[in-house]
Amino acid sequence: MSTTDTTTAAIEVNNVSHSFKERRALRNISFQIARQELHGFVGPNGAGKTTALKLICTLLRPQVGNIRVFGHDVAADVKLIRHRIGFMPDHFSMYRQMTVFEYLDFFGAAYGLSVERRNQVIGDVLTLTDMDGRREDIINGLSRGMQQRVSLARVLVNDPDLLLLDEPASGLDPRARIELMAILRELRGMGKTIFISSHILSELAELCDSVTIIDRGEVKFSGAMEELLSHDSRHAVYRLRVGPDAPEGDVPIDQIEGVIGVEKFDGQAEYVIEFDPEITSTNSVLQGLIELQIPIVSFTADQKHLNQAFMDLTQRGVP
Amino acid sequence: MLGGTTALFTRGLRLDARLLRSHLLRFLFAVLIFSGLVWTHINSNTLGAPGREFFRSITYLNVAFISLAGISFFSTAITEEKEEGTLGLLLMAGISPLGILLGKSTTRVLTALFLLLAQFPFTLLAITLGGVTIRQIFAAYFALFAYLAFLSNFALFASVYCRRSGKAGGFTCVVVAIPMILPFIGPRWIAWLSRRMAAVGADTDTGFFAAASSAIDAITNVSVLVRIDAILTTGFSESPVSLQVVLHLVSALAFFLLSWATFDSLTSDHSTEPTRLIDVPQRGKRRENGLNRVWRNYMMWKDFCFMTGGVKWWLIKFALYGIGLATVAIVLYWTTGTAISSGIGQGGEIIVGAMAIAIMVELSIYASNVFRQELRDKTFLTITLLPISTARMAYAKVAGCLLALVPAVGYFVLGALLDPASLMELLELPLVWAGIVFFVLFLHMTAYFSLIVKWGALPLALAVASLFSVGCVTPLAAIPILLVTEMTGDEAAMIMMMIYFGCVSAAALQVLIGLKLRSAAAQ
Repeated sequence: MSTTDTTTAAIEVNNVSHSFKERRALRNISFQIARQELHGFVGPNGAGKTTALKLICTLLRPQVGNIRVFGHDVAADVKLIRHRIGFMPDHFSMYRQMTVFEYLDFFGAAYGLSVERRNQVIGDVLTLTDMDGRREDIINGLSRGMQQRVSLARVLVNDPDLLLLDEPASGLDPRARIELMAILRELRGMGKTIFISSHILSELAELCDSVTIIDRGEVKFSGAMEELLSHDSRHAVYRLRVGPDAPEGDVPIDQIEGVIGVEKFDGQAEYVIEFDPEITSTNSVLQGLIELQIPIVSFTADQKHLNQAFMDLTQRGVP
Repeated sequence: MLGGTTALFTRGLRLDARLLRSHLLRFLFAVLIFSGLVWTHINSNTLGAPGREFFRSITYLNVAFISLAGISFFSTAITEEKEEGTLGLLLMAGISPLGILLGKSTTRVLTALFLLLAQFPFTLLAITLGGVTIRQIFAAYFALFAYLAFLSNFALFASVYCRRSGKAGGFTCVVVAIPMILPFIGPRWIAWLSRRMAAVGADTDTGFFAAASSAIDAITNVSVLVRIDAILTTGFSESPVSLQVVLHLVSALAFFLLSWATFDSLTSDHSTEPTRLIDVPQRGKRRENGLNRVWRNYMMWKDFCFMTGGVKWWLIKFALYGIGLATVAIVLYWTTGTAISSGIGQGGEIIVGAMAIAIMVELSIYASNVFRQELRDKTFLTITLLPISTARMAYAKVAGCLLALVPAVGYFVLGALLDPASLMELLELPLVWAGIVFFVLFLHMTAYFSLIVKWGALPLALAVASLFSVGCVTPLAAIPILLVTEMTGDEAAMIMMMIYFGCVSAAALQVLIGLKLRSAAAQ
């Protein structure tokens, strides 16, 4: 389904709070997701990810604040939003007695597609999910990975602009995970906005354009993946790789002006150099290294692993 | 074995102690006993033997309680472990089948037993009120304990045999219902039928009628209600150990041993092959014959094909009902000696009655499953996100269930065509319409309970309907009914009031079901 207004964000969450009896699941959260973006939604168990997803897909109404999907308010424009989204829950909610074809045909009919259109769409989504040869199989007899593909195919039947996927890779073997991620990349290439909640942090790092980290109902970070993976803005961290003819013993890198710390990895020709960008610049540090006659192989900005960023931003223990 | 059994036993007791509903049930029981005592005290001037009437009400209450516990509580002892997938874990933990059976069932039986024991001192008050002896009280408790032992062990076997709690509860419900109902309606039905047959010159002293009478007599001997009636007659001096007690205790032991003997074979996973109620057409044939293509009313299609069994079960039901009715026709032919066509013609009334019961049974089962299945399979969330209102979705599901009634309705219409006069006569009675409305209300209640309880929605609805119809609705409805009757002077107005109350209550339940469905999707 296309839309004429392409300026608004796909999802806007503004100061949303939500409670279940005494327990506050979300505390004044705000974030935005641009169109045609693959956005990761990461948080420990009980952080409020599923609650946020259910609010976005209109299953729950926000108690405080507002959420807009393609500019439509989730509390007011439920039908409009439901036509444009596809939600895949974290559990396999499927009619297991049906065949793959019947299952997709059922949802196609539910979205009002004609028989001819359904035939075409089902063929397309089964090809996309590589399940074309299994259309007559009963869902109950399929492996978990295949059921997940059918579930994804179901989400795509009404050609939604926004896909909301709650833990889509949980319980899948490595091959199935990699294949699922490849399908998601393909879908992003087709112009879909994808909001994916997952615990598989390393995969998100490769897959997502942006990420939101949530912990104990609060957004700890929301922005581009590069921004999260780079170190904090106060200090710059670079990784220096030197050649085999580098001088033995300690190299006085820490004497370069502005350099705060140097860490050498034992047995490796590699240093991690931290410097204050307010005192010096990357070029100046590189110039200093050349002056020290160090045989430089590479000098690149160091990026934290997503797991490290996640650990830094979230707290220990169960909320 | 003892360690594992004790662990299961203590876990069961702890769980029971933690659950609020267990304590509420005990409190409700105490309130009911107290109400019985007050009622007896108030009416002691008009009652010949107030102590006996008080004790009778307590005993009936206990029978109702044990029966309900059998259907819902005892019958889930093993199925709940199967459904949660924890039975294998228990076996892997080194607990033997006997240990599991003892550990799981003993807690439940003890919970029920404690309730009976706790009330025993209070029931002795009946002696001071007069009209009942200590022998009668002991005999009644012997009968109740034997019934409890039988039912708990039969339910345990049903729980071992069945994969799902609902099915185990259903089996137990049949075993509870037959000795409850048959001794009271069976002889009347036989008498009515033999009168009819005698009118056409049949011999009603031998053959089918004699066999049916013997079967009813045998069932009567094991009926706890019949035994309690016998105990509470004036001048009772029999031994507390009656045939009913012996038969129930022997059956209890037999069912426990059967559960133990068949545990391994019945609880192991037989097959992981996918199964379904309807046939999967061969590849390529689907589009040629148009079978299994989703209908325009997709929700109706889904529930008709996958909840009620679809066309395949239509055909099976057509055959089963047909065989049942043909059997009746043949029996009529044998007993009357007249032509089958003539027999069927006279049996129109029987066909209508039998199919009315079939329709009621089918509807009750569908009402308890129509929403429950979606919740159990966690599919409700997915269909809630479809561009259709909850109300439309619910009605479409109901329509799918109604479509499954075609075989029963077909035979009902056939019966009505064979004997239209009787049906018209029946439909002219306002009480019949009140009964239909009450049944519709019962279906709503079942559907609502299926959304709020994990299992046993149907027995719960049956119990609530029975309690309300005799305990609350009748006295509450009596006031406006009497007023209306007084004002209009028309007895039919009384029935109209009942119909009105039934319709309003059903509408209120529809609203509640809608609200519950909406909240269930978000959970």
